[in-house]
Amino acid sequence: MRIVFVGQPNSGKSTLFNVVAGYKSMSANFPGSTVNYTVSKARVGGEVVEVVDLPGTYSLTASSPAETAAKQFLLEEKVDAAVNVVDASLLSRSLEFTLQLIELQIPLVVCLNMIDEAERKGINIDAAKLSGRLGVPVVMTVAAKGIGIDRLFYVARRVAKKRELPSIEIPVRKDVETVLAGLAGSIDGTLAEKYPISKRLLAIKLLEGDDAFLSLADENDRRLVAEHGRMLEETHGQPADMVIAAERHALAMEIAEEASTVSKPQRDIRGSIDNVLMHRVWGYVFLLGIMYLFFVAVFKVGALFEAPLLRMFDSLVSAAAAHMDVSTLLFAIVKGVIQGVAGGVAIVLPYLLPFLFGLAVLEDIGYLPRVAFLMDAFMHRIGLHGTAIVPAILGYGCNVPAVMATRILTSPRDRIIAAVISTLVPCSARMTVIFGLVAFYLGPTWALGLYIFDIFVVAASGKVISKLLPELTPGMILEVPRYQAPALVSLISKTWLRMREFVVVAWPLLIGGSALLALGDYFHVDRFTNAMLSPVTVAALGLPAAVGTTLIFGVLRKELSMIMLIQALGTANVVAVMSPPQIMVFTVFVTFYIPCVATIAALLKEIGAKFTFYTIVYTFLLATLLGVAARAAFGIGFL
Amino acid sequence: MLRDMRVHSHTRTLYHTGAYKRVRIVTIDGGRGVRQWLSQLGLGVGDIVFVKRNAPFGGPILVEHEGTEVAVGRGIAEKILVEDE
Repeated sequence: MRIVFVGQPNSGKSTLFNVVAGYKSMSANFPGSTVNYTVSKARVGGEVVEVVDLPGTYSLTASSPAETAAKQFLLEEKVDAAVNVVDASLLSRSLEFTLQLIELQIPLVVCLNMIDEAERKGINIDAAKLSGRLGVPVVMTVAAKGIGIDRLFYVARRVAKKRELPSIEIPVRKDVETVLAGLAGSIDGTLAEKYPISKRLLAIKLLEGDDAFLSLADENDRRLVAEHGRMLEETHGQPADMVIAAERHALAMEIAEEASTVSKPQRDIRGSIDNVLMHRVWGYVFLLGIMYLFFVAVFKVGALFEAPLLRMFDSLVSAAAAHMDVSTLLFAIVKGVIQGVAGGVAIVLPYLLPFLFGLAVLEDIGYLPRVAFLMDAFMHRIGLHGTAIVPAILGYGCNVPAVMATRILTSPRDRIIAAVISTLVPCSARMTVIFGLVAFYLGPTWALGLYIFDIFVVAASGKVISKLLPELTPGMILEVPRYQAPALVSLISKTWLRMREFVVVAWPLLIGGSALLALGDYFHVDRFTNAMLSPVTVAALGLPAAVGTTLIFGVLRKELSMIMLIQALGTANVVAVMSPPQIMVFTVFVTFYIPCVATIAALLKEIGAKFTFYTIVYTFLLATLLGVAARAAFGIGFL
Repeated sequence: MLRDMRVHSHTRTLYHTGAYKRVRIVTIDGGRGVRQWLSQLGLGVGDIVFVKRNAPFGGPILVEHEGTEVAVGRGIAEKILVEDE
């Protein structure tokens, strides 16, 4: 039996899923083209049930990839019962989505979640009355406290077994119904054979301009849709999609009003938090403070684990050396692979793990939409809007989750720009290079300067790319949810899922790449690569030829460019071989040139091969340009 | 007729509505995408919304309707006409 969870974002759907699926359950994550559903097996009442958690969506009108995926799943996959998770404190808005689900005529249960939250707001809902109006069972729950879940599954299983369909068709005003019936009666019946839906729903979807259905329509059907749309537009004075949305909107408000009674809300301190955190002055002060504390915390935790982990891998290499002949090719490969894994485990994980966890905390509390609100005006200056700040912030930890997070943007154009500029944000790996070289040899002020300079480069790049993709972005419409105390289970599962995504993308590349580079090292390919790269490294940037290979390593993992630099130069005292200005030029180049392979893999997945290729070319040219500029600024002579 | 006149004289964009005002949405321009997006969050023509705050530097407007708070960017807020409630 397969039970599917659907619901709007922040409805507590994932919390419910975690309670049901539990940590002991076998969980699989199927990445779709742009969104993931989580599938899990759960044992309910002596029966094993497959539970699917669809991405949170506001509606089924499919304005974002997540919504298209949710709709396709509900229409095309086998669904024994759908559980519509509803935030009881936002009943009227949530019911608009519920009405759309009822239209689909699939076995449905409404899970009225966060009842405690609603009561605190003075909203009391009569579940029986609501159930009567909607024609589907309604179960009240408080998922975070595990209340009502057994009953929910009992009802869901009953609905699935008896295949109880919603018993009420959504009523609309008479003239709208006439138009719907007219269209339903005249369109080609084979149009939606693919979907088991009624002709009336098909007519609704077509008049709403739903691309999934319109794309199936032939010329005659399209003409009929346009004709009936005009009929609605003439009588209502607004486009057909708005007429239908308004019908649903009015009905949802009516049902919500009828089923709930409102009393005096309890005092809620959360209402006043925003008077500080979204304040026009204090909001920015706290934003800077919170970000500063966040990065300090990530850095402290990461540093705590990095050294002992690195020591562990070093002893592994020594152990291998003790048992093998160090001059063989096999040893070179084993050593390379161990070092590759060491980089992933000892250098990236210690920073990535606390970063992802901290981010999950900020996300679950609900702080990020507030940041988007505060930063919207600034993001507009670079051709984006507030929502795009989220991937940019993620970029400081690691560019891979940053690129993945661009999914939250609805416009493909915005996604591309946000993804490209995210790769220019110095991640924690580049942080080690900036700290290890610039801060160490030139002083921390120069390192800080490089970070500030980077913000300008990110802004300028955003501006340039927006000019190249001059599509008008509609701007920000973003729900600012109320603050919530984060649940540990949800934080851990979120961190784990993202962590795994990183591990799956990056580690095969790390291991394969390391082995390949070890081979190159064994056969002394480095002389050849150094010579090949000398036009850039020596002629343009004024650096020693030996840095060439390190740049190749840097594409594999950014921090390797520094580690390999020490190896390539043959001394840990870099300043003996390179002058401080040369160190600065090298770091500038390393900061901006070509994203690392893991980021490239993420880019390929999110923005496609063409734009990934452009990004590689752009960042290489940008890094060369900035490197040459730094060279001129620091007065390294051109030969 | 008189009613019409009164409506028009008090109509302004959401962007130009100050904070702490209760207003009714009269029209939403800006294309189907914007309308659908707003309607998903429960905002439609005829709804009464409370303008909670506006961000500095030409930033977004925060409106509240039926318990949902929505940040609306300037470009979109300028395309939403409202009247005093």
